[in-house]
Amino acid sequence: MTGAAKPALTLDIAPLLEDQWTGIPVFTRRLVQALERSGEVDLSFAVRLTRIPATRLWDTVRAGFGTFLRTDFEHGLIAGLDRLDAASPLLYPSVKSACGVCGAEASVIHDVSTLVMPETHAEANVRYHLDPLREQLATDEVVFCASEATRAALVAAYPSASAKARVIYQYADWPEEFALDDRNLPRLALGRYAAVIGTIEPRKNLGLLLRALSHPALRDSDLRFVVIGKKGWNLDAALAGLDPAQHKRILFTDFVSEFAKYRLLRAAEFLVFPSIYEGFGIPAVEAMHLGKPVLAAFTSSFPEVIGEAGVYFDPLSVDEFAAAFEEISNPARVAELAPKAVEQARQFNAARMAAPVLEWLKAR
Amino acid sequence: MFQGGVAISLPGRHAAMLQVSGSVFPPEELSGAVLPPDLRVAANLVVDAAKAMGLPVRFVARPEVFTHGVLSERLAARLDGVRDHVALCDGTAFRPLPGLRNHLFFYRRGAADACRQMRRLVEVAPELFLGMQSQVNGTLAFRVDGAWHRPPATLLAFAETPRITPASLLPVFLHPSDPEGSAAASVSEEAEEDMPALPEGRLRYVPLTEAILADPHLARLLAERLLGAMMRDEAPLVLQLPLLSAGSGDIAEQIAAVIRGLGSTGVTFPRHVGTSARWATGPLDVAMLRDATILVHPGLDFWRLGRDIWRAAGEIEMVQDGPAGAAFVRLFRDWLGAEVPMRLLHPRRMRDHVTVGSVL
Amino acid sequence: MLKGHIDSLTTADFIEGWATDDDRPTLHVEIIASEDGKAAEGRAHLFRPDLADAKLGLGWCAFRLRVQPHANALRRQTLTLRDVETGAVVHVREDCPIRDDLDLPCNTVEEAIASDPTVITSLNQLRGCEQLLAHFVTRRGVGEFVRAAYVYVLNRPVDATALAGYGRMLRTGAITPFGLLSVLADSDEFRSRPRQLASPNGTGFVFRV
Repeated sequence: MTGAAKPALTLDIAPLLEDQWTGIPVFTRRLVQALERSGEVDLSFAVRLTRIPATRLWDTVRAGFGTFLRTDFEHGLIAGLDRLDAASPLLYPSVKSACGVCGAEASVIHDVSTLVMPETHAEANVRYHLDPLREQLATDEVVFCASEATRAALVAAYPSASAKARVIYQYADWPEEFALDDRNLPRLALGRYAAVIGTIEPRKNLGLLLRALSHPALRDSDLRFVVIGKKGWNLDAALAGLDPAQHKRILFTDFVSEFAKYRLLRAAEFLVFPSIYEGFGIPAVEAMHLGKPVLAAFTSSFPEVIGEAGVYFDPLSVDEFAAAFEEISNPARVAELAPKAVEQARQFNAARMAAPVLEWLKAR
Repeated sequence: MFQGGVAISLPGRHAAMLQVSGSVFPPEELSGAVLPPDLRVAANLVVDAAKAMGLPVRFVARPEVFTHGVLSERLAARLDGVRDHVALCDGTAFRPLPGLRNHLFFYRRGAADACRQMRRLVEVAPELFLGMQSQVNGTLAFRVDGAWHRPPATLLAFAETPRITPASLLPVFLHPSDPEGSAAASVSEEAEEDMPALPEGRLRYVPLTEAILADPHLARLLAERLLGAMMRDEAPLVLQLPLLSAGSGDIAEQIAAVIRGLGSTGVTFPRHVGTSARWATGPLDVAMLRDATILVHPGLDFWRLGRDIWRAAGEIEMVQDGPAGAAFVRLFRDWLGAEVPMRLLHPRRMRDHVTVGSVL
Repeated sequence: MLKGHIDSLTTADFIEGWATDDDRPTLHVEIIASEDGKAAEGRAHLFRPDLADAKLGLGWCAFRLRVQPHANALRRQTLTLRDVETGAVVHVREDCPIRDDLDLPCNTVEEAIASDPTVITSLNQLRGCEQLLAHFVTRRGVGEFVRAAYVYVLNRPVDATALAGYGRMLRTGAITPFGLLSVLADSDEFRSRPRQLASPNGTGFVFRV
């Protein structure tokens, strides 16, 4: 339809007001960029029902942190603030700050762990997500879920949301310059190792890996494990049960930059992702982008995100983990899986992320 | 009732502590696990019921893992013909398994905080409970979109009361200003040695829970009865100590918690030991409870005592306050399945109660 | 203003130098050899103490790029340093010297992390940023700088007392902006929970206005 006006959409970008961007702020940034890149939507941006100028949004995206935007917004220092157009659809990339204000609203559910694994969250976080959820769903025209698994779990608890629940897939986007920067730096020669992304919190299930270190399949392997991520306060307690030989097998980086994470992933043989439950699992896509297959728990979103690039195990079974480890630690198997990893990562891209949103807007 | 076998899931916070062979595992793997006593008894209740029907039992550590598609297919393969799933629920989450008939077993009606959490869970996700096949020994009822929903009950009972260790009777020292000191006195060896036998008379037995102690009207009634037993040597009164949500299972901690609960009623207690009153550290022998009067309250997880005890009782005093209480009375009667004289108690009405309509 | 220099080739097959532009934080550069064409490519974003002291590119504009073919083959050629984005020639060098060097790999995780140019290894590496910090104070105010300093070093909001106190010290000149960063990095709070701080070319360097 030539000459047709592009549908309008207001995006709430409150998550971008954080000082440091991980998780939901990064999702928001990718969503903003994916929709802009599609060229098929007339985008506006808002924070707490207040429209902000697009220039400020793009400056913030370029900077990669939200400190200035937040302080300027809070102190009323942004010129051109306006009430948002309530007739335009409003999309929240996470929990809504207000319900039923605009004619058409939508939100994103990243996972339902506050509902199915509340013991892994602080009480305040559980209340923050669950208390408004019914009203949020009732006032959403569509609700985007981070994976088919998240959608299935949401609909199991809220069957009335079934017709409006759709899937939106995030993508990995390593900065273009990382590959070049990595090439020019001293190469990593850490011996054979697998990367593990995660912290010591129970949901990430690092305990399974620690218990498996005494299994013959791992004990007799020369592969080490490099755990990339914040160490956490109870790491020492978790490691207390390891003997010195096992201690040497597992290295902890603590919090590192995105670039350091990239380098460590790139030099690893594969990614270990033992989580008990995930809403999507972006670390898997990040690793697959670099041609790394995934030793993955058979749970929730992993089969649909990792597909044939994964060797799977029961997240509670040391024996299954060890058997899967034995399979994937064979370089010939990694060589078979590496192209599948690259192909699988390609399935997650900006166009695919924008698609369900555009579909919603065009169908209105 | 159950067909083809039963899958049982545990609350997440306890599943997290398990080291088992996999997501689906046999009951035997729990024998060495550390579980809170109320959870273990609840699990045993379901396992025993299934085994009595000759049905296989499997535990599912993490139901949330099996969301859909290949995951639920894998689960079905592992469960091999099992069609029923009993979710042992501590009030924080209810995780049905796709494709199975899901039964909710809220096993913590004796914990006031668990009841609050359960209430909140139903408020935030009522539809989650619409699809359940039944509720085990429960009286959950809720209204959503103008319609009331009362999932049918599945009644499970121990024929014989499970006991880990034989129960002891301890003397009652009750100084509300010093709960820990009172508890220490009760558990001291001298006190036990010096304790005379309970006097003759129809035994009055009260299995306590935190929820019961949190009911101010019933707590007042119990405090007054305890005072009567201590001051006037009325018919012997035995209070079975409650399991505590927090705490190490230590007897002295349990006694201190009861004293705090009864002490907050404002009833004054004497400093001498009560000859007609005792604490019980667990369920008493059936022989001791024959013809006894046993007090039941909706905040009692009554199924922890087997039908052997209940049917031996001479009388059941049933606390019924409000419509929720009426549903509980019906459940208990159906569960007991035998004629035991029952007398309804309304602690709220027993004092000179004033009802205020409006102050405007 | 665009400026830069090819310093030397190395026996480990690298080429080193620096390049900076006042209007752009980090330059993407390439080396073109007169006979062999494009010999190296990468970013000029590494720290060098002499560049910091000379106030060139905040001190974070050095490059060390792998060359192909070997350095020996390139030393006889005319080498051109070019800004990839604009195509502008930054420096041309004939008879480029070659220094002894080793291409040592990172053998430990610690070495891998230490080689990360997107984070600083000590606050001293920001000594070339004084002008940038002063510009921040001018544009966004003293209070905003103190807030940003707390976010950057301690990863938390500043408390009201500290905001008032340090604000006063900055306004009276009792402390410089760089001095405040040093004080925070030297604090017990930071030492008890040390963190990696973003370098001027990394995301999270909150002082770029």
